Amino acid sequence: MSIGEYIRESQIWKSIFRHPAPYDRRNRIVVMLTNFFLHLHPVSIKQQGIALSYTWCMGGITFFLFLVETITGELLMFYYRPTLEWAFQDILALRDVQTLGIMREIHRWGAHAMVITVWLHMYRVFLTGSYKPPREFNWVVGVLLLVLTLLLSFTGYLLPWDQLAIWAITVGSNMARATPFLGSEGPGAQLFNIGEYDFITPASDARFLLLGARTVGEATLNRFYILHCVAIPLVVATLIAIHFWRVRKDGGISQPL
Amino acid sequence: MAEEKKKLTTAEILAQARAQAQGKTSESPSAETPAAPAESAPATPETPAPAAPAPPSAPKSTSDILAAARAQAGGKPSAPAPQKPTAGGAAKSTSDILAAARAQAGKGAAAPAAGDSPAPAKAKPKAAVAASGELPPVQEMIKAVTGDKPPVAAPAGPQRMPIPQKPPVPKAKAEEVPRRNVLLALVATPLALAWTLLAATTGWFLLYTARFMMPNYLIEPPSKFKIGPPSDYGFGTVSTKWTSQFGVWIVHTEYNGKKEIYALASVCTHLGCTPNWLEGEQKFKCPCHGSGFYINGINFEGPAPRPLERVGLRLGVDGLLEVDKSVKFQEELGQWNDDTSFVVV
Repeated sequence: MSIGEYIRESQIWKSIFRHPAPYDRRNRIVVMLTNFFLHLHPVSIKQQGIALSYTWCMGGITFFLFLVETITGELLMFYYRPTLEWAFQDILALRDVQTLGIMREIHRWGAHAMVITVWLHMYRVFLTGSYKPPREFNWVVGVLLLVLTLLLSFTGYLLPWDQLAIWAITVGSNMARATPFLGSEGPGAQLFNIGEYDFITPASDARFLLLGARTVGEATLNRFYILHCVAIPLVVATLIAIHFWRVRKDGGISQPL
Repeated sequence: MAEEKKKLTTAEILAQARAQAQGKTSESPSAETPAAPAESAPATPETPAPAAPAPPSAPKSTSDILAAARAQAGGKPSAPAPQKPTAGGAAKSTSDILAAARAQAGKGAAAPAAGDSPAPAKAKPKAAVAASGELPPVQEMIKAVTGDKPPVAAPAGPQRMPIPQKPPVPKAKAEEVPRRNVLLALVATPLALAWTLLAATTGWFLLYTARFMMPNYLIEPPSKFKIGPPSDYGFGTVSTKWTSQFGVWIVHTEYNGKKEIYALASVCTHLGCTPNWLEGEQKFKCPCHGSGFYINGINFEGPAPRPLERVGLRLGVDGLLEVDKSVKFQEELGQWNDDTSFVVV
C-alpha cells in the first residue's frame, strides 16, 4: 500500500471527501456535487464553453484577483491602524521597514487590475450577448458587483491618508452634495425643508452619511476602513457566490452558437 | 345546447299543436286561452301579451306559440318575453313578437331588458318560481297539446330543474359562513395587529439605523475665532497664517473702489480642494484641476464655476478682527456687498 493509498483510505480523508477521486465519469459528477465549493459550478460544460478566445477567462481572473485582494488585505490589516496619527506612518513602515512590505503594492496593483478585468469581463459578456435571457438576472448581479468593486477601490483609496488620498476623497465625496433629494446641493433637497426644520443640510445629507463629518477627517478614515475591510467584501462575497451559482442555473456558461 | 333541445321538443309540440288545432278548432283558441287567464291573473301586463301572440296567432309558427307560452310564464317581468323571439328566430314571427314584447314593455316598464339574452335567461327562473301561479296554465296547455307525454321534457322541464337546486345550497352555506367569519376574525385580527406591529418596529429600527450612521457630535475647529488687529494685515497682501488651521485666507485689497479686509474660504468652488496662494503670480491656484482665482477671489481659469466664497468678518470692540465661518457670502449672489463680509480699513 502506497502512502497515497494509505492517506486516501484513512478515516480522516474519507470523512472529508466522501467519494473516490474523479477517475471515471460517475465519480467526476459525484465529486462536483458533494464539494461545497465545486457545487456552485456545473457538473460538466462543453469544451467550447471554456475556450479562451471566447470567454477571455475574465470572470475567472477577476475572481482570482478578488482572492488575492482578500488575502493580502487581511495580512495588511495586521499592520495598518486607521487613525490620523498612524495611518500614513504605517503605510510608510510597510514600504520602508517591514519584510515583504511589498504586500501593500500587490494589494494596490491587484486592485487596479481587478477594476480593469471587471470591465473587460463585462465587455466580453456584452459582446457575446450573454446578458440575454435567461441570464438577464445574472447580468444585474454582475452590474452590482461592478459597482461594489468600484466602491472597494474608492474606499481603499483613502486609507494611505496621503495628500492624494485626502483630496481624491474630498473631490469624490463632494459630488455627493449634488445627489438628488438627499444631497444638500442636489435637486429636490428643498422638498425636505419642512417648516422651520431643514432635514437635508451639509450636516445631514448623503455626503455627511458617507464621511461621518462635514469634511474628510478621522471619522471618514474610520468609516472607509470598515466599509473597505468588512462591509463591502461581505456583500461582494455573497454576490459572487450567487453569480457563480446562477451561471449554472441559467443554462451554464454561454458559448459560441 | 338547451336551445337545440328546446327547438326539437318545441317542434314536436308545435306539430301536435297544429294537428290538434286543425282537428279541433276550439283547440287553437285554447292555446291562446291559457294565455288569457294567465293574463287576467297578474292583471297588469296581460292585455298586451295576448295582443302579441294574437296577430300571428293563427297558430302557424312555433315561435308564436312559444312566445305566447313564455309571455305568460314571464307575465310579471316583461323581460323574458323579448328573449323568446331571439331564441325562436323565425323571421316573420320574431319581428311581430318583438313588436308585441315592446308593446308590453311599454306598459310593463322594464323595457330595456329586451336586448339582453342573458338577462332574460336569469329572469326566467325567477319568473317561473315567483309566478308559479301562472305556470299551470302553460303546463296544462302543453299537456293538452302533447296528450300522454306530460312533461316530454318540455322546455319548461329542463329550465326549472336547476332552479330549485341552486337556491337551497347557498342557503345552507349562508348559515355556516358567519361562524367561520367570526373565527377568522378572532384569529386574523391579532395576527394582523402583530404583523403590523412587527413591520412598524422594523421600519422604525431601520430608519433609526440610518440615523445612527449620522454622528451627533463633530470635532471641528470653532467657527468663530479672533485673528488679531487689522494692522497685522498690510494692504495688498494675502495672509495664509490661518489657512491650515481654520481654512481661510485674510486678504487686504481694493474691491469696488474700497480698501477692505475680508476672509476667503480656502475651498475651491470646483470640487472642494484647497488652492495655493501663489505670491509671484498673485493668484490662488488649485492643485487638483487647475482652477485659478484673482486676489479678490474672482475665478478666471480652470473648471471652477464661480468665485471663492467669503466668510463673515467683523471688527470687535476689543479692536481685534473676528472671523465667523458659519456664514458664507457668494459674489454671484451679490452678497459681497453685505457689510458683515468685510471690514473697511
